[in-house]
Amino acid sequence: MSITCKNAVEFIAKNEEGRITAMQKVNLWKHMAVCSLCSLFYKQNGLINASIKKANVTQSLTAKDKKSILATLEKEM
Amino acid sequence: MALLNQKNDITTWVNDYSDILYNYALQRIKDADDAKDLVQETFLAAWRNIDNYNGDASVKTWLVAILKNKIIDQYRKNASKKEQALEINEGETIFFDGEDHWSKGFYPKDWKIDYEHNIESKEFYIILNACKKKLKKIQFQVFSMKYMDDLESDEICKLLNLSNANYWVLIHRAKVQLRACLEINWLN
Repeated sequence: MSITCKNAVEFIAKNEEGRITAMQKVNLWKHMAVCSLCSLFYKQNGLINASIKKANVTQSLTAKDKKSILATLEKEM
Repeated sequence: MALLNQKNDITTWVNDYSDILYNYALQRIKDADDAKDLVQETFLAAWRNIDNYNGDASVKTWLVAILKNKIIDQYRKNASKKEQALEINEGETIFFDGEDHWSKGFYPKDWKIDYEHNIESKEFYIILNACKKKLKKIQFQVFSMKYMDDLESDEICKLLNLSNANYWVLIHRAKVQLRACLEINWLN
């Protein structure tokens, strides 16, 4: 049975957790063998997954924010 | 005397660890103000429970553990809101056409890179982070829990009271959107 691109994307997501059946897996690989778009999606998705933890832009609290935390604590002390 | 020491401790901790906690929260909570509030609540909880801190774990580990719980509470609070239910079902079908194939304007393009290797460009990560922030709140949460904290779908569904079907819809839409956002903003 052939699957659609939308199915393929769903299967790619589920496959990361091993949540597709053997049959669905076969259909996914068959689809990607002929669909260059889904095949690209698959590779790019893998790259995004591997990169996401590194995508942290370090930000600091302002001096004002820190003062406000300390002021709130003061009230409790 | 002990109390005075504790007061000194907590003040030092705010100075030493608030940025670390803030960044930890920012990776997991979409809204910066919410992240700030969670940091504040973490220190308040730390102060109220300071007698329980026995020095076994490092201060940082202890504070992060408190923050983690606060974040989960926040997730739950958000998940129970009505608008969240709407967000899940909101139509974002532009990426696929009537036959569930990629829509013409949204064909994935080849980025002409080696997809197997980590990307060096700092810009890539800045844009990836910005694209992640563009996800809807619930998508952002689900995505963070899965990819920042490596939680499995069953656990996330349980924590957020989501059905399995809704969870997978959220994840696959988040993936499609993130990829498209990255392509538009990074490639050009």
